Amino acid sequence: MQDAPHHRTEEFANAGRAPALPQARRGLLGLFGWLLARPLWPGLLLALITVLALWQTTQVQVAVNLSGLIGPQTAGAQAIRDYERRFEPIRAEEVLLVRAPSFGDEAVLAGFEDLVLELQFVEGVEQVISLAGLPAPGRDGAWLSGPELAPLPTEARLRRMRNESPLAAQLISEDLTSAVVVVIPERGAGGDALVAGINEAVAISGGMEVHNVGLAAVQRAIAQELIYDLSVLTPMAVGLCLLLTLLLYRSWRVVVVIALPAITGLFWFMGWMGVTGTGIDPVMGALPVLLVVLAVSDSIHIYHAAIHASTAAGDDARPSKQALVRALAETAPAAALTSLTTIIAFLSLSIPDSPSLNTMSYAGVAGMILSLTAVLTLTPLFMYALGVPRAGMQVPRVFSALMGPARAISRMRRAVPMVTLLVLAGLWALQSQSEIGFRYADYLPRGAEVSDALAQMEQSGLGSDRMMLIVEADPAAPYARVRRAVAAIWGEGRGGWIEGASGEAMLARMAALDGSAHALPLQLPIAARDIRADTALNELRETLAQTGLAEHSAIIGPGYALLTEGPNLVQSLRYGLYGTIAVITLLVALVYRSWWLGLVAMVVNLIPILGVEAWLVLIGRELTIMNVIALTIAFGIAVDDTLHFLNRYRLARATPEHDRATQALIDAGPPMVATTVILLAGIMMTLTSALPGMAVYGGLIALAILLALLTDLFLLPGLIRGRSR
Amino acid sequence: MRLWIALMLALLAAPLQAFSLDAFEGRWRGEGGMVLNAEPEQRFRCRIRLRAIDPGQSFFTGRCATSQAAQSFTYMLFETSDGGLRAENTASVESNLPAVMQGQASEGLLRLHAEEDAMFELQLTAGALQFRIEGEGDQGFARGIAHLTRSE
Repeated sequence: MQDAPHHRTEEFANAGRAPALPQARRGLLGLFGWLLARPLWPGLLLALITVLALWQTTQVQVAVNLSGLIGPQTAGAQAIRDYERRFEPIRAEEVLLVRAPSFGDEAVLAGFEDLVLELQFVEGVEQVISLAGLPAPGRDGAWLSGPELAPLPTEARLRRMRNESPLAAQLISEDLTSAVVVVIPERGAGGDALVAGINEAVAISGGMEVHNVGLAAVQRAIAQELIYDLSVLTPMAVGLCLLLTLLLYRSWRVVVVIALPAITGLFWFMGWMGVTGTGIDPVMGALPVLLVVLAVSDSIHIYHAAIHASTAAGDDARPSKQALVRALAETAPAAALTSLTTIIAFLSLSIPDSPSLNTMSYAGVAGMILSLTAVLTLTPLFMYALGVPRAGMQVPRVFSALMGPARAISRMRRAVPMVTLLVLAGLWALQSQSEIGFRYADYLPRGAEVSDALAQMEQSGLGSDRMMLIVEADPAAPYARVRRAVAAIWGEGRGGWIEGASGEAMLARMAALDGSAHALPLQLPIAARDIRADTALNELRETLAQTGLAEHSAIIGPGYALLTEGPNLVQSLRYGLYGTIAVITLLVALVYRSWWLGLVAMVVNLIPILGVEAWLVLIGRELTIMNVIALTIAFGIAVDDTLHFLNRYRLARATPEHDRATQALIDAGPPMVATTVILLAGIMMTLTSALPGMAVYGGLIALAILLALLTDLFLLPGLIRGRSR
Repeated sequence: MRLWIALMLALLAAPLQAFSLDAFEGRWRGEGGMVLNAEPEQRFRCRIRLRAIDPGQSFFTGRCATSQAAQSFTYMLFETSDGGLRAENTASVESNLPAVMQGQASEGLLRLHAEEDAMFELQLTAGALQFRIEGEGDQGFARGIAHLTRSE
């Protein structure tokens, strides 16, 4: 005969010697006692929620918009709006790189003209910009097919065009093997239908190699890789975590208890994404893997706490409900706190004016809350249903073995603080050398057709991104500045095409609606090589400054906005990271009611972050958007081990003061190592992503977590013991 | 019964109306030359379609292009019994072409014009179609002739 439910709740509460316990812990004991007293109904409710979430998961979209990194109020975005007001709207153009053995061959050139004509018939196309359509100097008609060049052989025609007009030189390469065609869609047109039409036109023309290389094509390639990562890498990361858990704990029941809540939490999160219509973009690509591994980490800590509680209670084959409730009540606060620190890290991403990062911030917060809820509700139910931990289940010895050296080092009370300070100072000095930058290549999928084509395009001297140089006109001499700009950028003697009356007619085509400025198209190399994207841009700025045009000119374009706003975004994220560190330090100090513990926690968690930054300096990489996001999230995760350690330190009140840190190490150390190993395995899967940004992101988080484990095992206990002495 | 007989007689008495538009129906495509103002001739490609909606009423759509620019058109053609033609611009987006054009249809020839010197002319010649288009645009006066063949 079963007891009445309220009796059971009371019984579980008493299991933790309730009269002496703080109210919050009594509340947790009561809550988990209630959950395990009636496991069926909560279980069914959670199963229903999971089914609904699974259904909504089918609605999740991948939405890649690199311009979404830039907020509408940033200078780059405002410059684009200003250009659209003064000149014309910027459309989501498709850019084609057309390659042939030589356009100097008459038949090949005729085929190229055929392609351009064919593109004019694609549904939704407003304009096609190409060498074939470039107006001749002094008249409106096409230069390439005009009488000026008619007497010349094909190759000579092309070379003359290149020599006389920098615009032509930006549309066909010097070796005459590559040409650029820009397809501008009508207002409201574009997207998949336009691409399908272009592909059809390309197929009909034939005889040439055509690659789509515009921003839209880059975004499509990224979306394709993201879909692959989500559908292949995420399950592989989860699978690896499962396999590792099985190898470490040698029990399928433990695997279920540890992994299933995390996987369910991921489904809840994906369901939330589907319900709210939140799309997954490149900066968010690694979020599902992160959520799973963090939830697995919390489950491992609960499982280890259950082993301790069950052993302490002297349970036989199955753990008693009392032992489970006690383990949950002991671990839940730390799990909630670790989630809170990661949530704080995610929240800091809502500070910059960046729609993409803001979305990641909200999604990260929602994901952490859902994952924690799944862990705290499902782990006890699975433990109870499967009778885990069973008698004889042990913490893997390999982890316990690591505690020996950690304990030995913790006894070096003088050396540990000294080493900590030295390491901190060294890393700080190295980190101070770090530079802020933006690498477009971080977002280009490795091995994708568009990435290779962009590399070829840059190699051909055709640049990889189309920008506009806006030159403000001097009312007294409307064409003087733009002519100076042309001479400065493309060299003296290459301005014939804008001289005289015919040149003025050409410049009129580039003029603002009110004639107050001219827009010169520029093809710049920013993408393909793994170098700072603004290298060529800085050279251009330098040239303009030397010509005295810096204050009368501006560069605009979606790519330019990314390049210039990227560093601002990094700076803003950096401040967010500092804020996160301060808030988490304050939180630790408040929760454990000790400024000393808050300070120690900050120091041991600053080391991994500074360590990663120092490593970036050593390998010659700068701080980019993806790197700082990784550092911010890594800090939120790195502090998790510290919090679990401090939780165990707090719970070891009964232990003599000088042994509390050692006891905490014995209790929290093995699960810290286990969670780090599993976290690393899961996150390391992102290294195989074809998206370099995603791989770097995962790699940096993995490095930070590894360093965090080392500082938590080998520095934190010693620092605490040094003080307790 | 009397009503049925009356209807039959009325139908038999009415002559079968044949519209000139019918001969042009179908999709056409081809190439030719276009002259902009006094510029040298450029390659010019056109694709047009005439589709009967009702007797004496056809949908006339098309697009012509050079390597520099393209122009689409969408007109509803109405042919009267005496061969008179009226074309109404039905483009869904803002169009710089005349809203209404007038013209004449005869055997093998359709001609539409508007006051703004705009003109379409379609002439059937031995299974092919000679298509002429003229008009004033942003860059000046353009005249193009293309020789089209049926594409379906």
